[in-house]
Amino acid sequence: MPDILSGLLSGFQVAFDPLNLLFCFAGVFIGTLIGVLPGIGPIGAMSILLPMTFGLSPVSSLIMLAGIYYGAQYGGSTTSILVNIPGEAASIVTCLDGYQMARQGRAGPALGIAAFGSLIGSTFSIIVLMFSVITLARVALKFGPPEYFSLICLSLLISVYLARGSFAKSIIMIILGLLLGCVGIDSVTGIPRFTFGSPSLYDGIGVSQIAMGLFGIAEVFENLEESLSRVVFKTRVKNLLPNLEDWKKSIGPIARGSILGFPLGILPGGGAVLASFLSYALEKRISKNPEKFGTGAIEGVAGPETANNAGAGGAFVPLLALGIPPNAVMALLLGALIVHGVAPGPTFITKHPQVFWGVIASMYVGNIMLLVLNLPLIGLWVKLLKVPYRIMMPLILVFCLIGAYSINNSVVDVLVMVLFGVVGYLLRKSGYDSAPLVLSFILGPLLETTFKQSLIMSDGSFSIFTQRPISAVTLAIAALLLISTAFSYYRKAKADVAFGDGGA
Amino acid sequence: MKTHRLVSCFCWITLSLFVMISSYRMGLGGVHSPGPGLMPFLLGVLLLFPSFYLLAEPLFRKREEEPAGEKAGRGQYRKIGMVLVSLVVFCLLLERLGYMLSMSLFCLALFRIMNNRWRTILIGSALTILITYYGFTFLGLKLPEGIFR
Amino acid sequence: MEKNRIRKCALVIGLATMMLIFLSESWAAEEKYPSGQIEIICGMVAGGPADLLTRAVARGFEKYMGATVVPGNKVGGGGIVATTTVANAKPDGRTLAVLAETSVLTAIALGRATYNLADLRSVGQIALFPNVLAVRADSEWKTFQQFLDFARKNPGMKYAHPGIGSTIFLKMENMNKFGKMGMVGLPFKGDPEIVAALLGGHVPVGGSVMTNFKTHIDSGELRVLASFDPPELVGLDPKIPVVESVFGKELGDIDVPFSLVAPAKTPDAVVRVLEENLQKIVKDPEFVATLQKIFLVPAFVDGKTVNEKNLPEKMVRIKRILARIDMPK
Repeated sequence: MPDILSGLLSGFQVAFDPLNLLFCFAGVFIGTLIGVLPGIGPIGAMSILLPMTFGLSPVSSLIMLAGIYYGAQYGGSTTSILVNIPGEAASIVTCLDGYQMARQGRAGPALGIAAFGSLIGSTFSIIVLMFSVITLARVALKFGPPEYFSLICLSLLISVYLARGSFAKSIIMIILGLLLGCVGIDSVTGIPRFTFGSPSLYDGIGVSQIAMGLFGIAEVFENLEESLSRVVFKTRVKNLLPNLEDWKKSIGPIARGSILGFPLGILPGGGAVLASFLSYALEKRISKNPEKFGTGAIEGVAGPETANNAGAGGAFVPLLALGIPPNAVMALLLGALIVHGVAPGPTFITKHPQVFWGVIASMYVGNIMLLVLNLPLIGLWVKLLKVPYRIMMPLILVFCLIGAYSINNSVVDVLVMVLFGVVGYLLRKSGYDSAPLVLSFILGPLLETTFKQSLIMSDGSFSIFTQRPISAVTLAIAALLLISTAFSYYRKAKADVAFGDGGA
Repeated sequence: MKTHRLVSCFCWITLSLFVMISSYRMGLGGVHSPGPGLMPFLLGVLLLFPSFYLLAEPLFRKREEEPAGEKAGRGQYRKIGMVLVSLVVFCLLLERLGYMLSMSLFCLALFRIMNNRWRTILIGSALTILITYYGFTFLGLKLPEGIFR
Repeated sequence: MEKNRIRKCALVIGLATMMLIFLSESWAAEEKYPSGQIEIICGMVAGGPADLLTRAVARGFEKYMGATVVPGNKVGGGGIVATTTVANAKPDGRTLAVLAETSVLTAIALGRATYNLADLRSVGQIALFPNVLAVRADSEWKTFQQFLDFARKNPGMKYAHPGIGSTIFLKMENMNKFGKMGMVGLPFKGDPEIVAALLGGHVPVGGSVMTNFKTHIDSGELRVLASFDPPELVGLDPKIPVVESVFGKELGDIDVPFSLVAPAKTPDAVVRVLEENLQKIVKDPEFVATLQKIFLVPAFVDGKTVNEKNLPEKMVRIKRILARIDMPK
């Protein structure tokens, strides 16, 4: 404990160095911008700024790059709440209730609780990271392919709770998402599937293109249907910040979001996106009024926003403790560190304590900066809502187009986004809800890969899933969940029949 | 609403069959050593169940279903169509004409679809193009130059 | 009314001026090569060793040629998208790529390439990627021979690789089949997952670029059993055996060089300028230092040799390996 305190103190000394403060601010500021703009993710910004950091000390570079990363997690919710367009995949669930809150004149509280939740989630992850980074990383190493498979099964099961409306339609969406995930080169056999000869599809369809199309472009199409004189927002905004009632409702989701999001960030492949989706599903499941979700329940914003920031913090664990990046952004940070000659790994903390503690301390500083940055902006964003739609709409499309193009400097991505825009529009008109599709799209390839890897490891035997302790426990939880859901569904169906009504 | 249901179910079933046929040709392998086609094939099969259920559902229930969406007026669909065409044309022209030109055309088209006053159209387009071009180039984004190379 | 008119005029003039500035900027770019902007594409994700190499090369060109060189990433298909981009680019020397020769050739051999070798032209080889085979330090095999014997007696051992079709997979499976090691490949997505799987004990042995293994070797968690290239090149104990010397030349192992590639029709004069500067860059102390940090080995080979000797030879070897390991199915 005293080691940690002294480490932290020395870290703060580094973090408060004026130059580092400047870089921290630059990082979080750019990160927020990037998060707000749809499509352009933190990777793009970080790789552009990477050369600039070559002349700086390792601490300063890491501070700035890390700032961009978690800054982007803050900004992502803004467009979701204001215009129902997710800035990135992790912000999709924020659209579901956040936008509804905005329509009810409660954009301010939505943005506010998102900002505060993000702060709490980030801070929570930093504190836990500080105390137990090495232990956590070692535990994470125990997760091999069979463990991941079981975890993903559990996640897919939970994602059913994302479903709104007709059960059959949600199942179709989930299956469709899984199918879309099959596009690309199969990782185990190396054979291209459903790529129609186009190399851009060899790595599969990008989730950003799908998200921006299904939620962004489709949203625009849908809005075009209504005659433009109908103003969809209550122009009298009641409050700019969440009130006591909001806080009471949000405390639980925020706490649960932090605890759920952090471990998910540590494990590769999921991260912030998975954290936000699962948090939403969890909140809906344990809520006393699940039907409120989707109509503007603040829990649906507080939980996911906290979870995705906690997940972003969790992603630092394997990177700093072991030098293993759990996602592409961390891989970039790793590259930056390697170039500076400060490769993270098991000896990182002991060999370069000033870098480690400097970064930790600056994360605290950065999060405070972000809150200070984002809160006053709420007033600005709310004013933005008053801009007439006939001017906003072209701007929204322009940003989506640029965002999609910037993913890989390729027009193909823009076309894919537009295609999914059309698909998303048609789906909405027919009463299908696209959120489960996105989640299963992300989980599908992971499910298949880990399944095949596990079978290779066990030479074809299924027992590998039940023999390894972590995997067995996870599968047991999944089975319990399945049984309890089926049971309650059965009871509900029986009750409905008794009352002569139709079920879902 | 019935047409929606029929059309969408028809789409899903066609998709199922297409997926099942293509994945079968990829090779299914065995359950203990799955081939590339196994997962898509299973998914294709699975997709048939809810599709048929949806098709048959109206027969089970006598009451009215919830409307999936209201029909918009004819004119509004035309707007959507024009926006869609503009989007696709933009994509096709982007690398050939470069960002400035294609975006200008796109903005003009979009603002025109949404507005009637030429002042709004021109000023809106011009501001959008200039701010986005210089703003994004400043952020380091590379926008295509097209014919200006 | 007057005020409105004046406002309108001012606006139009303002806009026109900005458009003119923009136009003049891009027309000014049509200066004599090499001034003006050059783009170097990398086919791998930002932050990875290939990307860091590309950035180092870009900086080198800026230093020696005085041009504005912008590195970019075009990720996809293990390099296929980037290769296709440069193959179809305008041959004016302004679009180049840093590509792994092996990946370029393998894609063609597997029938997946959307480009022709004839559309590409190497300006020169830049560096080599050394690959090694590693196990956990607490495992029972202290030498490669021990591991070899163990594997042959216990067929079905799993080895980690970054994906079927990847160069490391080709090399390892080639070794596996030729050396009759009886191992089974376990694919992972990306090198960091291989490190995690090794450390977590999920797989006994794995192959990767030194960049990913180095910190763990230094901290004593991983042990390198064998290297595919001379171990001294990356600061390893020279007693570590080189795979090809263990199995003999018949193994037909391939190395992993990276080249600067331009569209085939690029004028010779332009290519010559690039090649001369590339040679200087590879010797530049700052460049060498950067590569050392990412455990790549600077190794310049002139473009003519690469195009006329190395690439065809390598293609023969690749095809032989593919046949031996029974690919493509």
